[in-house]
Amino acid sequence: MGAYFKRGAALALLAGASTPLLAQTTASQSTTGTTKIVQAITLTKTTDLAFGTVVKPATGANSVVIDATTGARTLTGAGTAALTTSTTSRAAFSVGGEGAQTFSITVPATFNMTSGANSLTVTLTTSAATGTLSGALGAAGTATFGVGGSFPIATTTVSGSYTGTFTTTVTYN
Amino acid sequence: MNRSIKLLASATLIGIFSAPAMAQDTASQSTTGSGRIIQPITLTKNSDLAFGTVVRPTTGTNTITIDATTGGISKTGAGDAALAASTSGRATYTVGGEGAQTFAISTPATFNMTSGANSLTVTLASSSATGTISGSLGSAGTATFGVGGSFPVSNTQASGNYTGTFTTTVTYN
Repeated sequence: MGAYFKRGAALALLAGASTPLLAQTTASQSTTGTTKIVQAITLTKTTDLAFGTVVKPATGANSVVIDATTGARTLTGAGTAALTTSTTSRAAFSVGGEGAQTFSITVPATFNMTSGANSLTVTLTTSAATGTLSGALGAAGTATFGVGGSFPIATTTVSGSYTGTFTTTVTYN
Repeated sequence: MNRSIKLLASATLIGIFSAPAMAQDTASQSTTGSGRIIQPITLTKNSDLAFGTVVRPTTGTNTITIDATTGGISKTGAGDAALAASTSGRATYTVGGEGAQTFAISTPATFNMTSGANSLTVTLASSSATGTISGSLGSAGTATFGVGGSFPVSNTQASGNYTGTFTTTVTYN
């Protein structure tokens, strides 16, 4: 009985304290808060960049090119280099992230492939500088792109198996 | 009291610094580039294909064969042709190129040897369809192979000195 009385008194006290606030003159404004929440972007490498086997020129110089969009391998220049039948590919990537978002693609301008003490400088190209994830905001989307490159080859290029690595980065715009 | 204010202040500072780092809006992938450079392939003929002198049969027919691997000459069939003592031999070749590389050997299936208006069709055979250059990638190597052949001869074959040419090609695999 005593406890009930105390609780009732406390409620009355609260009501008494809040009443004067209602009595004051007030001004209100509705304000909008916004944010866009997107899921983290991911990058998966599907294939590496492979130039295959190239016969160096007996005379003159050439460039070996892998197209960033088609992956096709071609030879340019006036030298006598030749492309042998071999497995070649552009580097291919799959991007995951928030639907309908755009992102930028960055690769280094060049990277080196080495074979022992010997080196080839590969100039990199991308199939696009930017991309857009499929789908709509609120759902996961994907996008793909490719990276190709080229390197010069001369009569003095040393035979060997050349490899090197480079890092590709995607960033939400 | 003083201590807890400091703690609070440093926690706020951390919050301020980490917020601009943004919720992982970039993703990177390392990619491998590769290419193999090899020196041009060369083909040198060491000897021509020589069937020597054959006495045509008086009855029946025979086939005269030069073995692609041994260069040995032989006669098959029911005719009574004869092989005269004479210089004969398979065609032999030396391949030069990048060590440890494989190559394909191609010759026409047949070629004609003629003597005036008369003709003999020679069916060609190579000692192997492919070869491997000695040594390892990064140094020059060699390989050899031979080409033999066979032709039919009957009692109606016109006498004469028959000659003809064919082209042998090697290609890196």
